Amino acid sequence: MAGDDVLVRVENVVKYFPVKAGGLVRRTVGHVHAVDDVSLVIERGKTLGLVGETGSGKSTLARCVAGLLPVTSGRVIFDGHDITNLSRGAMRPLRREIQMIFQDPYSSLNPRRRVGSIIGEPFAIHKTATGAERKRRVQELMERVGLNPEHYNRFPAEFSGGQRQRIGVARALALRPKLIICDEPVSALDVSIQAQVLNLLSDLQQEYGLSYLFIAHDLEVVRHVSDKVAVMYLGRIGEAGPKDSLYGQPRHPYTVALLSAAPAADPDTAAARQRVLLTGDVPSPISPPEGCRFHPRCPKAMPLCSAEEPGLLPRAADAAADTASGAAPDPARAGALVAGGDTHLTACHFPVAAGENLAAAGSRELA
Amino acid sequence: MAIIGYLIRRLLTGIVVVWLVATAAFFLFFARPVMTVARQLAGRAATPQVINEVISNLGLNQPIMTQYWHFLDGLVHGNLGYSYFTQQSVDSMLKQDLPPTVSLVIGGMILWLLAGLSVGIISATRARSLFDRFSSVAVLVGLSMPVFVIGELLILVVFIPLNQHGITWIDTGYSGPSQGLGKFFGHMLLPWITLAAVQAAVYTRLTRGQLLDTLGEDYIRTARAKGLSERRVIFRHGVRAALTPVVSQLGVDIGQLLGGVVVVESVFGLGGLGQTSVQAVYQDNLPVIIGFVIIAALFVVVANIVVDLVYAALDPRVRIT
Amino acid sequence: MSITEVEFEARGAEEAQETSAKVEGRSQWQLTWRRLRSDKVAIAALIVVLIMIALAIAAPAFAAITHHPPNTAYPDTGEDAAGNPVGPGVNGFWLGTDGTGRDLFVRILYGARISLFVGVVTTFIASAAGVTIGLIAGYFGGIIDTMLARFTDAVLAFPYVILALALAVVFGPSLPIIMVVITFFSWAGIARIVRGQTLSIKEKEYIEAARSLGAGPFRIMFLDILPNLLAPVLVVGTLYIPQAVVFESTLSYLGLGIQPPTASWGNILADAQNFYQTSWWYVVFPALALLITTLAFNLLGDGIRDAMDPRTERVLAMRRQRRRDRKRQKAAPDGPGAALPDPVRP
Repeated sequence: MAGDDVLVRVENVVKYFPVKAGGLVRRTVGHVHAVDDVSLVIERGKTLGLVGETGSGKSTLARCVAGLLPVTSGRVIFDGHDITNLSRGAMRPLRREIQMIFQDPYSSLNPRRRVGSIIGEPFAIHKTATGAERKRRVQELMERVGLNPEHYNRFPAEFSGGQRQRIGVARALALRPKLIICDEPVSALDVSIQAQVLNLLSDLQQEYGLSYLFIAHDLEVVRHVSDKVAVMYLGRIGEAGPKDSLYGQPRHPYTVALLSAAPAADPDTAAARQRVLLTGDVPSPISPPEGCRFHPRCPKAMPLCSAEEPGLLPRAADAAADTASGAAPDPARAGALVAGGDTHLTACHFPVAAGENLAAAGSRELA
Repeated sequence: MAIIGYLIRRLLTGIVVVWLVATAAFFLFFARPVMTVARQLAGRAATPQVINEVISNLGLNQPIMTQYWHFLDGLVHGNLGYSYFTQQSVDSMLKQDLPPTVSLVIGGMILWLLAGLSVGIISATRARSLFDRFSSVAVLVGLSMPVFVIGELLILVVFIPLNQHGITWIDTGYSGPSQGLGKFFGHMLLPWITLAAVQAAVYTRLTRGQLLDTLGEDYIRTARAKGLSERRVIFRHGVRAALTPVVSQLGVDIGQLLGGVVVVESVFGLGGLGQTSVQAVYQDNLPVIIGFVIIAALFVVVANIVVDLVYAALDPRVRIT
Repeated sequence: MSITEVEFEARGAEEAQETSAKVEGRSQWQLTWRRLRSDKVAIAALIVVLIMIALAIAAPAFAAITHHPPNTAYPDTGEDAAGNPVGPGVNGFWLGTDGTGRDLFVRILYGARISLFVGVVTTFIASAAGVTIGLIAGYFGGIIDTMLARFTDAVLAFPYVILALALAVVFGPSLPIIMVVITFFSWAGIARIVRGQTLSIKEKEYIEAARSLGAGPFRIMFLDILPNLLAPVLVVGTLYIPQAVVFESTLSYLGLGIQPPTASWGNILADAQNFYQTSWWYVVFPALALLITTLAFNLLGDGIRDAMDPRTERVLAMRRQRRRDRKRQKAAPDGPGAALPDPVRP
């Protein structure tokens, strides 16, 4: 992976939120480990999909990359610049390059502002266009995302959910950013509309050479749009790799369980699937489990799993392939292995081998 | 136990507030050219001799911080100064003026709470009835009127005609309870009504709104379903929940109450703290004003603490924070 | 076509018309105005307010018509033998005279100028200050918010009379003094409401979106949050005007505000106390003027509040529907367009 291809590099980012107790002086009694040592890369012109349940930390991570949240430790490097915890003033010019699309089309647009003003706001903030020129460019954008430019003066309430999301896309696109972070952009839309918006995003990527960090909890959606995928659990990355490899041979038990739970359109396929049922609830991010965070729910858990945290490394067949293809095990090389790269990485001591039936193992009582 | 901690915290805050007010008052009044201050302290009729006496007595030529220190010292010892104009010490003047003010405040408060709460409760339970509509209009009128207008209208419409017909029970001016309860009530009735009218309107509206909201809650339905009598439902469950905002409104109103007291005393010639202070302004009599400001601040702080305690007793959640 | 079919057509056409009209996209203000128009009480109040304002502006004209300037005393025509004021209609004094024989009606009008001026201007300034402080406290949070919120609460609880007294002693009573006092005590209520609203609006996603675009705090506060606040601020503002009017007249009554001979409703009513026995008009007419003005503003404020509340729309729509049903009931009794049963009141 040549350095030039990498647009965003996230290095060991940690984000904790303090939990304060009441009282005369508010003391910090604990931390929510929202993001716990995550490293990944996003390549130019490519899409990195980030999957996880609620509480996995994916939205928090997205906001750290976007500079909306300060990180507790670690670095975020955008296009060669270290943007970690930059002041608002220093961050400003970079905001033109990094944009976000939000999940809820109903609350991500100010109901009291007209659509033209909403889409035109980036131009106003960064003083790149005014007056008639701004209007022209806003209308151009509206047309490009599939909205009628004559609705320039309407309020968001007069648009459907899908159209509102397009407004959000137009707003994000206004300054021709390099990176667009999509935080569950289609989760709140009807399925038929989802397809339209996803196709729009895909077209725009090709046309403008955009990079996406695409966050979702729906695996099928992620599969459709991403080049590389990373699966998050409780603030850490459990598994990551190129799309085909990850979906074809999922190695982390959590990934396997997720995939098995995704609805399949074909009833025969669905019947033939093994459902891996995870027991227990997702633990609290305030005191995550020792060792591998997934071990309390994992059907394959062994004593080692609660003792030692598994690193994000190529495992099983991937490890063999890795050593076979490249040079010998080399610390420098190992440092280059990170989520979002070309190698399929798994954080598990006992990855699932091809053909292994996890469903059978899942019927055990868990400690 | 938590309540003692709460109480201590509030007392400390209260002391700080009174100190802040006293300090602000001091600098407002004394941080001016010496002659201006001296003249105001000495009173209008003062000769240059008296003025010089004042300057030396109070050390007005000293640096301001030294004066401030003496001022605080005096306060802590309960000495509020001396009114050269009336040749009395301010504290004795204030002691004289206390009974009318206290009678007015206590009587007025009882009246408006009773009136406000009962009309509010009845209006809520008979929503949209004739009574409710009528009381809504009365409330709106009450809210719109300045206190002194109500007072003057009452005098015009009640006192004057009664007087002209020889009925002297209702009267202006103050007559203490020691001089006959009947007379006391006769003098206080109109002032109480005047003070209470506007406040009663506020509390009626507040109680009605809160009670209507509360009565719509599910747990009220449960109480009714349990078979409790309507009266029990309303009082035990509904009113208790509606009371907390009323108490917190009381805390805010304590401040406004002082304004009302000043006005009512002036309209009816009751001669309490309020009226005396207003007259002191006309007379350019600074010591009385200073005394009044500090007493008033003390009153507000103490009243707020009492209200907060009542609130904490009613709503257990408050104590924890 | 049978009667029922005609009815369906008619109803459909009506509804279609209404729906197509809705698609035009009315702004919040247009909707509010529509609702306000249908509230008869509020419109009556608005008219009264406008009349009051007109009368106040026209005060000099009335002084000219009656040939009685506001501060000129007429001891011969304006007072009776005992030196008391003359009654309404006597000697060309429309509402009678005051204690020194001045035209009461003209003075009341001049008093209206003061009251309305003070009411509107102080509310305006207080609103601007209150909105700004509330926005800053709500948006920035943290220690700024704590300090501003505590300060706001302190001001809210503070007895205004004390400050008025103190300032009057130090600076002497005057119009600027009471305007300062009234403004000082009015901004706090608005600030508290704005702060509360800002705290909840701040969490909305479109605010986060604005930040992600690079918008600075002031841009967000005034361009994104403020438009969502204007409704409650307008309601509170309208209700603060009568409060300010009452404030001013109370302070003038106590002698801490407008000083005679300048006419203010407060000081007119103060002098009227000397003439209870002899001249009821001296108390009644200024009191009425005060009462009507404040009542009108209060009713208008209530009306605006109801008009801004989208729930009112449902009530109005139900009423319209019931009216339509009743009409249809008369045209074709017990047809398919029969009136719906009365829905449970909200």
